[in-house]
Amino acid sequence: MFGAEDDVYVALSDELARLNGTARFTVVEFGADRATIWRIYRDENGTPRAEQPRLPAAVLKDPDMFYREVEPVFIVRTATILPDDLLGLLPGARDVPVYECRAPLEDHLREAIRDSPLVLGYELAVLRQVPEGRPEAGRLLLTGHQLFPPGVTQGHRAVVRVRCEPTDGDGTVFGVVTRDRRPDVPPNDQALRPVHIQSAEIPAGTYEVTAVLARPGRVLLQGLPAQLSKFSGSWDELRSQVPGRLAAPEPVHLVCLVEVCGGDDRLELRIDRLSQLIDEGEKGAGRLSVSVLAYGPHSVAWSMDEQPVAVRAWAAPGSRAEQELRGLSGRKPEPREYRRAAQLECALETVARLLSGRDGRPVVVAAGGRPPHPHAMDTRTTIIPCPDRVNWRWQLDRITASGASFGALRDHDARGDIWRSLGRDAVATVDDAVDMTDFAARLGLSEAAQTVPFPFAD
Amino acid sequence: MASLGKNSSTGSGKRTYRGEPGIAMLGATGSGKSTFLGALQIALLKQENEWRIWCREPASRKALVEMNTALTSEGRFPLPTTGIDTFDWILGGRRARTERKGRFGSRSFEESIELTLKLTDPTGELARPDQIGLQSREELVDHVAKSRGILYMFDPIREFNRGDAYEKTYSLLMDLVAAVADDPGFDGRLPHHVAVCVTKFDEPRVFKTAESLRMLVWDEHDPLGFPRVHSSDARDLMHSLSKVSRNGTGEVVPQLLEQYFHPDRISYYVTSAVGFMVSKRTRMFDIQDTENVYRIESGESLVRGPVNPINVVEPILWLVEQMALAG
Repeated sequence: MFGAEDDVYVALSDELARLNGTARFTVVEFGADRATIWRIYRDENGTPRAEQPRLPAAVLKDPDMFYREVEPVFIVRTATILPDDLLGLLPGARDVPVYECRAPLEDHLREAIRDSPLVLGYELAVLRQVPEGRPEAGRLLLTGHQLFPPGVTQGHRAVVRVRCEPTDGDGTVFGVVTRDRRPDVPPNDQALRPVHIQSAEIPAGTYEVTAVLARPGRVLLQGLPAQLSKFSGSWDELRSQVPGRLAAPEPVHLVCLVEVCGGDDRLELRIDRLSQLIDEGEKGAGRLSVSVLAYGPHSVAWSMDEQPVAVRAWAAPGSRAEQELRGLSGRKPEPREYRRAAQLECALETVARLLSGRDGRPVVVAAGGRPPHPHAMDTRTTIIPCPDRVNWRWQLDRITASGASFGALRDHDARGDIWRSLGRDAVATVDDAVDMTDFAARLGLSEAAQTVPFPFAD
Repeated sequence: MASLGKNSSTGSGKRTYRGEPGIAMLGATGSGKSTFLGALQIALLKQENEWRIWCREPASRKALVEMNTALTSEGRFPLPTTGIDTFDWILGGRRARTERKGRFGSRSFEESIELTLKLTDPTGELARPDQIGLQSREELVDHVAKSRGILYMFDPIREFNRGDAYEKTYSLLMDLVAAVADDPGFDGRLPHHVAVCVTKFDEPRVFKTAESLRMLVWDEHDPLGFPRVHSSDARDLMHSLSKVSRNGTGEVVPQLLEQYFHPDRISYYVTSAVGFMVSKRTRMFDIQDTENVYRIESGESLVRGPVNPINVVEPILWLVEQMALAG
C-alpha cells in the first residue's frame, strides 16, 4: 500500500511520459460503492485523452478476468471500506500498486494531463505568399507558424505577429495545429491537424498575438481586438476556402460632402467624423482616393454674394483630403445667411458631373443636417428654390447609376427624403458616438471581395 | 365745399380735406400693418403720382423715416412696435374731380386732399377679445369708430397657422357697433369704407393658390413682369385661403365684414408690401421663386431683393376716393 496524494500524480505523470504512439494504459479507482476504470491514450495530435471503457459486468466479478482484461497499471483506493466484490479484486500478490488517497482519480488525471509536456509541437495555421522570383509567386499557402516546441508545459508563452486581411466570410480563423512531420513529405505539403480552432471577425490589420498554453489541446490567444469563439465548422472546408491568390484590391473613391453651416462646434464634429472615416477607409481593402466638397447655404438675398460649392480636393490621397477638411474649421457664419436649407443639391450635381469610373467605386458620404433647396417652388416646405433649379433626386439617381454607395453622418434633427436616401447604406448621428469601423464596413470601405479565412504570419 | 373731416380748409379751385376721421388700420399681430406702412412711401414713389406721406408729430415722423429706411435700405422689416403706440401720419395729394354745374354743364377742378392715416394698435394685441374694457382698447375702438375708412389686413398665413382672424374681428366689430349705435343715421351697419388687404401675395402658398384658381393676370407693360390678382377676384381668393384656416372660422370672415359693414363699401385687394422677389440674374419676376422674404439664423425675417410693393397705394386711394365721393 502507498499513501500519498502526490504519489498518484507522480505515477500518472510517469505513465503519461511513457505513453506514445497508439499505446494506452489503464488505471482504476476503487470507491465506496464501485470501481471506475480510466483508459488513457494520445490522440493524433499527441494530446492525452482519458475515457471510461465499457466492460462486461463479469470482468468485475472475477479477479483473474479483471487483471487479464483491464490490465491496470495501478489502483487508487479512495474508500477505507470497500464492498466485498471490490475487496476481492484487490491485487493481493499481483504486482499492481494500490494507492490510498481521498481525491477522486479523475481529479488526479486532469491535473496530470494539464501538466504533461507536449509531445508534438504546436503551430498557428497561417497563410504565406510564395515570394517574388519563385515559381508560382504570389500563390497562397496554408502552413504553420511555430508556437510551442515539443516538451513545453502549460503556462508556456509565445508571441507571433499576424496580419489579418479583410474577408467576407465568417471572420478570421485562428487554428492551433500540429504537423504530420513525415520525412518523405516536403514541409509545405505536410498535413496540418487541427488542435484548437477559434474564430472572430477581426478588422483588417496587423496584430501581435500572445499564445499561452493552457493545457495540451488548449491554447489561449491574447492581443486581438475581438473575442475569439469556438469554431464549429469543418477543417477541410476551411482549407478549401483558401484562395489561390489575394484578389487585387478594389480601388474606392470616397466623396465627402461637408455642410459648413450651423456654427463651428457642429462643423468640427462633422470634420472629425469624416476624418475618422477616411482613416478607416485607409485601413481597408483597396486603394483609397478621397474628395472633399464643402457647401453652405445659397445666397437668397441680393445683399449677399453667392458662395458656390467648393471642391477642396478631388480623388486625392487621404492625408491631403484630411488636411483640406481641417482647413474648413473656423468658418465665420454670415449672420444674414439663409437658415432653412443648404446647397446639398448643387453639391450632388457637382459630384455627379465630376465622378469618373477610373477613380474607383464611389462611396458618397454627406455630413450635414439641412435639406437641399428644392428645384422649384415648394409650397409644402416653402424653402426657397435653388437658383440653378437643380433637382437633388435627379442628381442622386445619376450618382446611383455609377454604382455608388451612400452614407449619412447627419445632425440629430436632419429629416426628410434626402437624408433617408443619403443614409441608405450607412447612417449615424454626428452628435452620438459613431462606430466608425462598422460605418465603414457598411459602405464597403473595409470589405474584401474574397474570403481569406486565415491570418498571414508577418 | 366737400369735407372729409370736421376741419377743412379751401383754396381757390382747390380743396383740402383735413381732419381726425381719416383711415384706421386693423389687423392681427404679424399681419403686416407696419410693413404696409413702411412700404407706402416707396409705393408712392414707384407709382409716380403726387401723393405724399408726412407727419407733423415728431415721434411719428421719426418712425416713418425709420420704417421706410429699414425696409428699403437694410432689408429689415419694421418692428411692430418702435417705441410709440400710435402712428399718426398724413397722406396728402391731389385728386381730379368733376362737379356738375347747372343743368347741363360741369366743372373740373383739382382738389388737394390731406387725411390722417392712423395706426393705434401697432402690435395687433388690442384686437384680442381679452382686451375688451381696457382703456387702450377703448381708445382703439374710439379711433376706428371716428375714422371713415378702414384698412383691414388679412394675413392668410397667420390664419393657416393660428386661425384667430374671426375671433379678433368679431370682438372688435361688436365694440365698434356699440360705439356708433347711438349716432344719428345708424342703420344697423357700420358706416365705414373698408379696404380688405389679403397680404403676403408673394408667399408661395398664397401665390400658388391664386395660380391654381387661375386668378393671375399679367400686365405686359409691367417692367418686372409681376402678375396680379384683380380686385374682383380678391374676395374669392381670400375665401379660398380661409378654407384652410387653422380653426375653420376664417372662411366666414368676409361674410362677417359684409354683415356689419355695407357690402358695397368693402373692396378687396391682394397685396404684398415687399412685392415679389426679383431674380438677381434676370432682374425679372420668376414664377418658381416668388417670396421676397427669408428668415435668418436669429429668427429675424429679411427682405431678399428690391421692394416693389403690390397693391399698397391702391386700397388707400380707393378709400380716399370713396370718402371723397361720400362727402
